[in-house]
Amino acid sequence: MTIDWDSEVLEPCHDQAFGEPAAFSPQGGGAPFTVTGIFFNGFTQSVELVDGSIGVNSVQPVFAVRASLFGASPPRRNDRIAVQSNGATYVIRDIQPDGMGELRLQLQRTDPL
Amino acid sequence: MTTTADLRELTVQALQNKTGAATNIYSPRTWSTWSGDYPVILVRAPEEEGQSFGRNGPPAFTVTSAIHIAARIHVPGAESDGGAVAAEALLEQYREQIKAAVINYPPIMSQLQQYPFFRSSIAISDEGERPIGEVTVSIGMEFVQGPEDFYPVPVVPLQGVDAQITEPNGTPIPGATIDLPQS
Repeated sequence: MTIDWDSEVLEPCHDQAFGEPAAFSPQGGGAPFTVTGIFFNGFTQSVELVDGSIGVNSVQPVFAVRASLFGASPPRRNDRIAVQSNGATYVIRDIQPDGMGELRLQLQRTDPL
Repeated sequence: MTTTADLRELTVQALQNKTGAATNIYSPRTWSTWSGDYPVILVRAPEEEGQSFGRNGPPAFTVTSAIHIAARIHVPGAESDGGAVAAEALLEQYREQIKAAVINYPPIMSQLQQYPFFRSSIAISDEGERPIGEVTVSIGMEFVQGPEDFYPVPVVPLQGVDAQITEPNGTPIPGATIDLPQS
């Protein structure tokens, strides 16, 4: 017996437990729509520069979302996401599918400094 | 007497308000940089090298110190990796600002024989919330350290001078007695 991972695992986790809404805007001006996903904005020190003797602290924003929300038009690099909980806007710089129906969208913050 | 420590301090002085980082300069720094810091400049002088004048004569060296200057910035992300383009352009500006501020700065120049080299390198990372970049400029500074800068030869201080001229008996004996140091 196989498990429908998306409906049995991802949907409860994303839509009922840990998810939050975000406005998804496809590049090229397609109509924005709301998706629910899990937003991570955790500490990272993996930024490597020339002078490695003094570290760089930052956060690595990631939005984990169910691929099934996007139907035949999966998210692509350069699409944008506005996370409601922190009011920040991001551009998608990389998309990392986990092979189980979840996409980890690697984000870069675009708000002016 | 010129020392690498003096040159590091003068480099910090030379950079004040001469780059986009204004007075946000650390020398040295061990804490990690974070988003509230940028733009920031870090100055260190971890290396110096001395080349002897030769086997003859007292110890004297042509000393070359490498002053490391690193500028870190961040920029907003943008479509099609536009943040990296903006970061690269900004770091190139910093590279020229740093060179213009330090090379030929009169208080440093007066202590040097020459600037024998500079080396520069740029790196940008897309890890993290926004694109973060760094330009490092390593500037060589050459000066001389001679025997007066090293271990002093131990001496006994002169405590006084007594001078007398020998004359026949019955005549005045001219002379002087000087105690040192005189108050």
